Amino acid sequence: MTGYSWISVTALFCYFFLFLTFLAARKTKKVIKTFMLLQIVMLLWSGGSFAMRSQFWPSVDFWHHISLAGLFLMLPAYYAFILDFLEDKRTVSRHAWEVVFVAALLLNYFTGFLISTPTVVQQGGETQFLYEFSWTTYLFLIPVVLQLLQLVAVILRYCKGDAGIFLQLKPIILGMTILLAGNVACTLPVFRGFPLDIASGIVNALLLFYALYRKRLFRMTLLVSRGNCYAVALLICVVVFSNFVMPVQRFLTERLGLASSYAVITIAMGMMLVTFLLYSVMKAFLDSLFVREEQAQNEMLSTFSRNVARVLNMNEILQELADVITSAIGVHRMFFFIRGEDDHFRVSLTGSPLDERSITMAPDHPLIHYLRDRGDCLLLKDFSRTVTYRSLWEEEKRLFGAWNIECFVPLMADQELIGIVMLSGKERGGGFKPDDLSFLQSATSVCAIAVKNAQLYEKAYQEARKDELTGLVNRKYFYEILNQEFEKAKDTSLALVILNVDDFKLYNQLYGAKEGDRALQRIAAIMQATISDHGYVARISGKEFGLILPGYDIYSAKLLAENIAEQVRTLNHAQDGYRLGQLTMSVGVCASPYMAASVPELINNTDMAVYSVKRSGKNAVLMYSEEVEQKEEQRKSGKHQSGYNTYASTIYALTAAIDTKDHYTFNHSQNVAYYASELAKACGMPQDFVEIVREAGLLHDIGKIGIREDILNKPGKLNDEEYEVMKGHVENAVGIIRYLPSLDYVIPAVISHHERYDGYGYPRKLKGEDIPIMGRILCIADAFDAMTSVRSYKKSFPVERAIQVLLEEAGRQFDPRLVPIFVELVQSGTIELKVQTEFSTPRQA
Amino acid sequence: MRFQEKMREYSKEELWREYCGFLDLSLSEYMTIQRRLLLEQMELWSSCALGQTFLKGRCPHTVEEFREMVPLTTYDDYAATLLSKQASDLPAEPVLWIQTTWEGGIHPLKVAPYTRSMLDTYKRNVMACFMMATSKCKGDFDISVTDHMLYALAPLPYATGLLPLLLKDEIDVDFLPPVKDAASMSFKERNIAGFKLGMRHGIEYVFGLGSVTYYVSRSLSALQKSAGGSSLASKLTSISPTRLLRYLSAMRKCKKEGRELLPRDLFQLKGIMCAGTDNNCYKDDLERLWGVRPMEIFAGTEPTCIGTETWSREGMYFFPDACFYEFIPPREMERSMADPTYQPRTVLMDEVVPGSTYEIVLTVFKGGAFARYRVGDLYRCTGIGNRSEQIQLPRFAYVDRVPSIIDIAGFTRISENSIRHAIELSGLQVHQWTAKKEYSPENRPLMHLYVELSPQVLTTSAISAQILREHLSVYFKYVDHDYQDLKKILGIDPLKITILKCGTFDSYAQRFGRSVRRMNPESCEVADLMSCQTQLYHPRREGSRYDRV
Repeated sequence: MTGYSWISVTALFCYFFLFLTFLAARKTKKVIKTFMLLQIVMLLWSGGSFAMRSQFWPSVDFWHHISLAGLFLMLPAYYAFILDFLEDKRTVSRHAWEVVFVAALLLNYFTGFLISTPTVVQQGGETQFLYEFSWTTYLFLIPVVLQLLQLVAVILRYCKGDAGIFLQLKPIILGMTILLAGNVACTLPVFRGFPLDIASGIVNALLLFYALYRKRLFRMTLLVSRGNCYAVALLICVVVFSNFVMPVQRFLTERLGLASSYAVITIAMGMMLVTFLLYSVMKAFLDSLFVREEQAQNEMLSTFSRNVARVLNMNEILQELADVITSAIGVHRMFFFIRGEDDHFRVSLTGSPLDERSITMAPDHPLIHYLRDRGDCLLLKDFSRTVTYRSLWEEEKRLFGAWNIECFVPLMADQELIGIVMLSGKERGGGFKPDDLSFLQSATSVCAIAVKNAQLYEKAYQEARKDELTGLVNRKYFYEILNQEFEKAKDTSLALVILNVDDFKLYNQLYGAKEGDRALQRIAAIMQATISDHGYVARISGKEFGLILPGYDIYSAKLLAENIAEQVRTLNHAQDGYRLGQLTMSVGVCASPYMAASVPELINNTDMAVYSVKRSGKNAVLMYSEEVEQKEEQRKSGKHQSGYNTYASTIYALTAAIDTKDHYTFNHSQNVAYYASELAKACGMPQDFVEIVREAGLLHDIGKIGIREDILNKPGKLNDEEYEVMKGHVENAVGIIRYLPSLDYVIPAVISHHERYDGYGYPRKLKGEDIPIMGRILCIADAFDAMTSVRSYKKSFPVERAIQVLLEEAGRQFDPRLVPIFVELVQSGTIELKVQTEFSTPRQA
Repeated sequence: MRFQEKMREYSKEELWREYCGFLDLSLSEYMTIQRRLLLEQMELWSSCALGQTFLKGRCPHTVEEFREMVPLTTYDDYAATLLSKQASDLPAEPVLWIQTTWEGGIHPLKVAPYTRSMLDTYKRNVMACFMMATSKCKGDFDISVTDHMLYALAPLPYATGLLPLLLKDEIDVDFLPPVKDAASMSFKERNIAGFKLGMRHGIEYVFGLGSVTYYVSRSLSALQKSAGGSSLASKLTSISPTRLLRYLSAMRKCKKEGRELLPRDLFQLKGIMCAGTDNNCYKDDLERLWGVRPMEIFAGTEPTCIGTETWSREGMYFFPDACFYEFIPPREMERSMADPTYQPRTVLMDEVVPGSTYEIVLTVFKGGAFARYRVGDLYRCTGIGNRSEQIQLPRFAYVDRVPSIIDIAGFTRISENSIRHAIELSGLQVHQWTAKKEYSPENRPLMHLYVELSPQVLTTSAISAQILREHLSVYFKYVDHDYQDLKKILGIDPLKITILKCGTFDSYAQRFGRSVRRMNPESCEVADLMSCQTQLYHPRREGSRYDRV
């Protein structure tokens, strides 16, 4: 290389490098392609010029025309680049100019009319290229000037009053000016020989590159790739060695006396070494210049991705995110808002434990809407310039100001906004750069998926540990917690309270399972609210709840339990327009280390206290004591009577009371008890159920004690008023049985024995399967006995007639599935008919 | 960041989106902003002593509850708190108190508190107005820091005095004369100084009340004439060379066309903004004088800047973040006028019907004092959206003040009380009267007073319409300083008197079973009144000699 050839070589490398780098990048915008086209044109120009000056093969003329092709096409390419840069869609003018310049190029190629091939002159040992300029050369300037004017007009039009566009175009305008000045200056005698036009071309190319970079049309890391560096290093080496290979070979063979073959190998090795060194130096230099920080961020991102993939705890994931943001960007404060089950966004983590965490954003908050729609990072300074920002409250704006918030990063998973990260200003100052935002976007994308997985896991985890109906801890988890807390509380105390809802089966039967579920939910809510975060509340069986109270002694636990029991007692008072029975609880309390030394003992003792309450009339809170244990021991040793046996005499006493008013009633009750228990047996019901049905049969008309005798024994038809009085016997019966706590389980049967299957019965107008099965059984038994017996108002029906009526009314008054069973029992003689010949059974209401 | 810094940082499109982006909102998006900001204001207002005087311990939680619990209010409801400037009773700390005339002659002043947030919102909205005043199409505006604005607005503590200050906060446009100097100048001095500075530096924008801007524009022409007589030397020193060239060329052109020199010949205006009432009377003339169609903005002492016209000048749109807007429909308005105790029902922005005229009810956002406030302005909904403008919001036109107030050219606020007071002070034996705002053949507003004198006084005093006019004018000026300014500033005396025959009002009452409305009766009512005067004459004609002609 001689003279200023290095400038041409530099230009060549520069254009080639830019072209190669963009070749590897994603060409998302048209302007990138146009920029590459411009690089090709410049490459032709500089390359042609360099090859011509170096008199490369094939000829000076060839390279001259290559160089001219670059020169002629540069302006239309420049024009197209600026139009694309401004996103201007016009196509006619750009194509027109292309045609003009291509035509000029072709004309010149064939005629040399505009710029002819220079003459090569050797002067003073140096090769010079002498161009001959004539008036025709200036003809070429006409389209050049015209297109330049149009270019200037386009730029002016876009820049007028729009400082933003002017700022974007500033490097391009500067580049154009330098290029133009370089080309004009090289015609001046003072710069003769110096390729100022080529040098200005380099500056121009770099300025264009800078303009594209400023407009964020590409990422530097994509450009400075390993492949690009290798390619450039190799190219440099090829060029350098192509010039030096012969002198070096000569040196090695002639001066050092190496054999020719060794010399070649040495040169090859040398070339490889230089290429590698060049590559390393270039890569290190570019890395330090452009991508070191970015690569460091990428490494952090990669580590972060690996870390969060292993974690299923949301707070840990967020902490990881906080850490990576702190390391990569460095912000003063961070607030992580995560969407809850109610779609409200609450602070889950803050950069500092001292930061305020009581902020909640509703799902219709404008920021949430905006981020959901945009889906990418948002700077407060940009947000504050939107119309949406206008709907923010002043308090919210003040808060953002007080927190020094500068950036909002959405956590998007499956197009859903699941969280927001609010970041304050950077510690290093200077605001968030696009690279920072890009990093945040990547980190939060990874994080969002992890958070969503964690939420799903958390949900599944909670569901596995929660009772579905009440939302309380379930039985399995309860024991887990109890063991854990017992271990933790070894040096202090731990109280266990078990609360059993009294007669809940009856409550369910009286008011239905749905109402029963609602009652359990309300009870659970009471417990949860009362305990708050001082302990754990669990539903350990259908109607049994458990409280684990770390740090509580027996006395405090008992007070708490009494408080809950009292709230439960008054629970249904507030129910408007619907009379619900009172709910009570039998509560046992025990605590370690006072009365238990292990978890099983604690549970057992508490259970014993509960059973003791149950045996002593329910509705009480009892602390476990040795006395309780003794009582339980006695019970277990069989010194205790069953509930029915205790009250058997009472039942007979009550039925006898009815008998005093109507001496036939007793027989009716006995008959109904017999028919009903037989039917229950035939239905495959267990023995205790059959027993309850029998007892219910005996007691079903006990309410008639309260009915006037003149109505009970009236020979004719009852009037409406009397009938209403008669209907009251059902509720009267319930009112009496309530006072026999051990017999209250018969109430559902008694209260529903006058319900009809079709829903027209009384008192609750229950229908179909809603009527307890005991009630449906009693209904058939009661009607059958009434029909087959003599009444004050009618004679007895024959059995066939009674069976016929039962069959006719199946599905209307009676359960259609029970009637055939009963009829079968009668017809097969399994049921023995208890016929009365005189006035027998009381009036069927 | 100030607007002028943003101009260097952002593109036009971005600036337009920031300031005028509300025009791209859908109606539901607009209402979302309205409702959300009302919730904020409700919370502030309900928890302050002023709000509790209306709510009496209650606290609305929804927009519907707010509209149900808070009655429609007038300035009387706030006077005790605001006139004594009890800042601690207000929803937020005021940084400024703006004043205006309350009711001519009766209550001298009313004041309104402005919080920092209100001023910030005001500023952004005024900038949006400014941009749109210079725009010819959507997204386009022409503002430069080297521009000059001639303004015809009263200084602080009047609301108009805020506008140049807020604009100054955003951009270093030169005000002609400078705001600081203008405060100590008389109206005439301001005009002369403004003109001189305009001749030296140029005028790119004009901003003022429609009527005053017109008067100033006319004065410029007059000043121009007087300046034409001054020496060439003084011209050369006071006028820039380009202006002088333009002046000479304009003189030549006007001479050729045989017309007087107009401001448009000298200045290439970018935009005119006008505020106040009766702008429709002046818009055409202003366009003729300046060559640019004025753009109307809607601002007031109590509500701040609430609306603006756009580049098309085809009606105005309300800003979503200045106030919560409710509208009293025509029938409810009539019912309320007939029975002042009646609480009219209101409709919201998404319920207005094109073609209907509404009285506006405002709740000022950002800690403002006024809630469900009847500011006393009527707007007509001229359409919902505008396809050519690509806007989906309801479009309005300012109609006038409510009928109980007569406002002349944005200067006065004459009520029934003011007129009665002036008549009483004058000692004139006016038996009955009714006042109506009318327009002269030149399309200028005036107050037409129809009076009926006591029969007794007719025989003892010489009373003609001219005497009455002059007499009453004196007392109107006495009781109402703004009325005085009409003459002083605009040089107009807007009173027209028609003396009706004795007994006309009684005859009207007998015939229609009701009295004529005292303030702004309908035109048909006035026609009926006049016809009653004629009919009153007929019985007397019986037997007269004209019957036989």
